[in-house]
Amino acid sequence: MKEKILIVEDNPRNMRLITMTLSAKSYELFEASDGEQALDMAIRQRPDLIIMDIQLPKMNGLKVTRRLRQTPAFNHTPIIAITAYAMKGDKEKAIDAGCDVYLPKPINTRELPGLIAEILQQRRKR
Amino acid sequence: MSTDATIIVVENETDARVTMCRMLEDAGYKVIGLKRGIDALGIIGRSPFNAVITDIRLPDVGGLEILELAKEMNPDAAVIMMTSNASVETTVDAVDHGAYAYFVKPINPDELKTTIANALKQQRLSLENKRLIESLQHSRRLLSEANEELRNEITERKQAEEALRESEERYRDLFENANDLIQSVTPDGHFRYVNTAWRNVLGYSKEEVANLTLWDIIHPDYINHCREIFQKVMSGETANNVEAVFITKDGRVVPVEGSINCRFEGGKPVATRGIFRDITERKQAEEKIQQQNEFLNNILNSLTHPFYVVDVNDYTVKMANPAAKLGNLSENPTCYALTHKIVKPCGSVGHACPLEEVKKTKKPVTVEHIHYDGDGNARNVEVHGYPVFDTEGNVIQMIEYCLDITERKQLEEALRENEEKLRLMFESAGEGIVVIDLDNKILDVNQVAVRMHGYDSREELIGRSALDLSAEEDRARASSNTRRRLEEGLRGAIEYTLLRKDGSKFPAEVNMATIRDAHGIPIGFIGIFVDITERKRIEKEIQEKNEELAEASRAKSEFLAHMSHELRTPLNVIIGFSELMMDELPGEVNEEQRQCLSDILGSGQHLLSLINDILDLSKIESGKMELKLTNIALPSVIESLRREIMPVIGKREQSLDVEVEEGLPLVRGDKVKVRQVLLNLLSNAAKFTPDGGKLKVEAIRNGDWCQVSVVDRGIGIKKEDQEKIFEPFSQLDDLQAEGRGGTGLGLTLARQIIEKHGGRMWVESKYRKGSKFSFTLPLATADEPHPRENRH
Repeated sequence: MKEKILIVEDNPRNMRLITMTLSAKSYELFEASDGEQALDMAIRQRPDLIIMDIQLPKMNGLKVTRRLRQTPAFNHTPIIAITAYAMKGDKEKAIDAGCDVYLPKPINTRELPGLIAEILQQRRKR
Repeated sequence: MSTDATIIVVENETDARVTMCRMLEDAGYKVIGLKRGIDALGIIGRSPFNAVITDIRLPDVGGLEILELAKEMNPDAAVIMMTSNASVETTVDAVDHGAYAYFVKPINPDELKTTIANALKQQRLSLENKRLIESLQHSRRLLSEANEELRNEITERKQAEEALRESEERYRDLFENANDLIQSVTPDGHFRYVNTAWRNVLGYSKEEVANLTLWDIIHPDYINHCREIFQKVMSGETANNVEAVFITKDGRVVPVEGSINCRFEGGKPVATRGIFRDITERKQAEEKIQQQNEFLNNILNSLTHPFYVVDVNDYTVKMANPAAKLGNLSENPTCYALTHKIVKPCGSVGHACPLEEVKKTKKPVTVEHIHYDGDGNARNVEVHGYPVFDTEGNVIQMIEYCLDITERKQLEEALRENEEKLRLMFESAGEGIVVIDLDNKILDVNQVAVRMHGYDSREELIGRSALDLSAEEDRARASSNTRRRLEEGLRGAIEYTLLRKDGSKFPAEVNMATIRDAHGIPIGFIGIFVDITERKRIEKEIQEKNEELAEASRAKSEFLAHMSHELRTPLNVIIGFSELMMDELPGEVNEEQRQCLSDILGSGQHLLSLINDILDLSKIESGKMELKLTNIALPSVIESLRREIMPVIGKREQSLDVEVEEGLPLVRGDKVKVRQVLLNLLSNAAKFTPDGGKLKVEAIRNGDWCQVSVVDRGIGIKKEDQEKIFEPFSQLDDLQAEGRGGTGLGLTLARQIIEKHGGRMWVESKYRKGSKFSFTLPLATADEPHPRENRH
């Protein structure tokens, strides 16, 4: 069974870049372009990993992450925060909200697949 | 004793007369007591009598008159004189007039009785003797006319001898009965006789007196004096009021006073006669007075201030103590001549004359004068004058003493000048000044303070509580701060809100200093304050400006963050898709396309570096960059960098040497930033060094600093460009031309980071020979724990 990855990204070009980056792997990808959609999609699809843009319309990524973490089902779902915020404190904010990994933009398309594979593999071991 | 003798007693004092009469009647005499002398003269003239006892002084008739009449009427009668006081004149007078004896009252009855009895016995014998002689003469006349002359002669002689004997006996009785010391001395100094009182006082027996001379009983100090007097008396003078000192047998001294004369026979001195009175008590009194005088004189002489007594009439100095230094007073100096060196009284030279004042007011006065000392120096003197009165209350003398107050005057003058200076400072100061006591009561304020508080005069404030001048909300704090200044030594300026007269408030900065007395005990405070309304306004303005600036800076940071985000997002896509295409994820690419994609990717990455550097630089410039300081071991940082950069320089066959001083201490810094700086310098060095060239990193200790240098054998930098390269976007044209450009911000950022650490960065270079970039970092502080290198 394919592992499910939910990608939350409001910028369609970025969304295409991430999906293309991950297309070589056999993941089942779900896309959400705002916070509410992300919550809705997560609850319906129960993804194994979430890639979360922080700056989102309607509800930002930090808020979405906090909401998910309040739900027992998402207590241990890995969440990778991706943000263009490279200012001081951004990383802390993301970790505080419940993200597991923080990646500043631009994402490294050559490293991201490996990182995801590693996280999923660790999750399977548990 | 049986007798029919009649005795007339004349005494005007009734009690004495009655007592005497009764006593004599009891003794068996017939007594006629009379009060008045005139009655006595009548009785004596008419009636027979054997003895008369009369007071020498009677109110109506003199005792001597009675004596003379009695002797005239009855030559054999014994006349006894009584007197209240003895003197040699009266006694001699009385005896010369034929008095038998001489009594000094009060009369001893037994002595009187004995004397009367002796007198009457003697009278009887004398009468008998007379009769016998008369009959013998008669018989002899009859027997031998031839021898009549001879017999007469014998008779006369005998009579004379008898008379003499009687006289002497009378004298003797007189002497024996006197209280005074009576003595008779022969020209060779032996005592002919002395009376009982003499022997009693001097303590010698009759026998001892016989072996004494006058000089044995005179005090040695008086011997010469007495010899002179003795000689004078022997030459016929009478010496009255002679003072001498006798010495008793047991060595006591007896001061005496008396009179001496001399009896002559045939022109030759026979014996001196002296009567003396013991004046021990008087002498003691005199001595006491003398001692007191001496005591007072000593006090006067011990005074260090000039002290003298001036005659009010002629200004002459009558007496002075040594401190007055007036010299010989016998020259009658005037007070003004001696103390002022002037020739007129003080009043005429502008000084109030104390003497005139004392004369006028009859009260003590104090005036200030200028006197001149022995060297002619003017001295300020405080003259105290006290009046001396005669018995009628007239001022006759003035006691004057002078205190030299020159030093006091000078001190006063200095104090006054000082006070004036302080007052001037007090009034000319730009600050408000308030002097208060420990209870906050205002003792003084300057005009500035009066004005600041909106009052019209200082009198309105003096006496009030300084707390009244503070805003109500500040009073408790002000009061407690005052206490803390005393108890805890609180210092420095404190801001208070103060009140004006009209109730409006103003902010002030108040500085307080404790005023202490000579013993260091606090007695009050001096408060100096300035109105800081204007300063407050400026401070507020500055604060607002700062807030505006902070807001602007925040906006700028926010803008940069946004810009960064906005720039990165498309860049993310550009870089990401370039990579994906080069990795042929969407499909195969040919070599030409790959080259194009490589250029897109390179430019994208360059742009990303630029954005990152600009962001870093703006963080430093806005003070937003915070260093995470830890203690860093530089060798491990260098080693990790070497490993990281080796693949890059290896491609170009460059080599890297690392030279670290042994035992290099830890440095204090932000490890990430320091690493960034060193990486930047190494990248530059590699970039500007030809392929196959050598690079070197050195680290040495330099005092309290660690100095790190990156050395290359690259193209070098011209002298004139060596500072320029640290400026933003200052990449040298020829470098740009060679296509080796970085962001143009790397060195600027590196230097900023080092300076933020407190260190500095510089370059030494020779054009076309190579460069050496160095920077310093502070050594680690001792109290910082050793960094845990293995934990990440």
